[in-house]
Amino acid sequence: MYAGHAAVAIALKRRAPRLPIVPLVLAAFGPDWLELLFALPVKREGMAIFTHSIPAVLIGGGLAAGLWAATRRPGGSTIFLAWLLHWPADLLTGRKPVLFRDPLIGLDLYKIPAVDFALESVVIVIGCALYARAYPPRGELRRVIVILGAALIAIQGAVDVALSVMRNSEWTPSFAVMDRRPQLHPLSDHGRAGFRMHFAPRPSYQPHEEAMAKDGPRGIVTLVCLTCGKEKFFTGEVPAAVSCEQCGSTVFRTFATPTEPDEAAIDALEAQARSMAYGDSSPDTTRDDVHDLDAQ
Amino acid sequence: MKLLAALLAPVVIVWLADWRLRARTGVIEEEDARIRRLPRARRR
Repeated sequence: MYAGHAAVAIALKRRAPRLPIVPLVLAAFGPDWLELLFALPVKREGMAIFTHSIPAVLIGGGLAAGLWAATRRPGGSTIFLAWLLHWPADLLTGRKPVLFRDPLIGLDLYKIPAVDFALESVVIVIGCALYARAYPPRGELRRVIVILGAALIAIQGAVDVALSVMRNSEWTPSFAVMDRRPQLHPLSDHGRAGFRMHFAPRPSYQPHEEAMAKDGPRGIVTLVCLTCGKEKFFTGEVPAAVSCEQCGSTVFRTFATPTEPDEAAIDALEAQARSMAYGDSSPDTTRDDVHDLDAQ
Repeated sequence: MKLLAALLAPVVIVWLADWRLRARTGVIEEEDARIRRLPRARRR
């Protein structure tokens, strides 16, 4: 969620009228600020566990509330609540860690920018309505709050337009991702390095299909991001939820490369093999071809 | 940089609106107090 966090903050303002609005809004975006700090000086993969998981939100909110309380000003509990509400709000629009790195859960509405815009607009309208009740019911005050709501909806619209232009990837809410099968299956009888891949998609986890999947060759699985083309390699089991470290997309094209002797793979390699040594003649190249190339 | 700008934008918008609201509320309350202090005949 983006502008919706600001709406949550202004909705909480009534709870603590003496708490300034800026620290409240900063707390509502707290995990995002932490994520920004962790991305300095270079962006790192997998920081969400330290910023957006439930323990991280509890610790971050507690620290922020503690710091605020240390200044002997009222509203520490509201700071904590604003930080805490970041997690359920993000659950609607993205996919966030719960306790550990996997699984990521959430409705992932960022992938449907129009729905995200509608949802966040509703949250902003509700937030502004609650915020308005903190002030006397006067026309000119209401006008300022309407402008505030319109401005928040406008920046949300800008973000959603950018999302619709940048990310044309598939919508993958958490329940769909949880059903995704791993590409490699560990085999207890082949030790720690014993993984086998199956090349054909499986509709379900039937026991006989599990047995068939173990018959495949061992190897490396390459996931190529459909959005930006970044490649990720896995020699072990592919995690249930993988996101691209470059663009954040979760949709990949999968390629399996066998690394153990396998008849089909050996045949294919022999058929395609060509000598790369200097001076070796190419088997399909005639003397005339070489002459033509030299002439060019 | 884009993320920083995106995070600062709602903070600035809400801060501006809150500042405006507090200013207007202060002005209104001040005007109300001034009107209440005036003699009844001059309030109109």
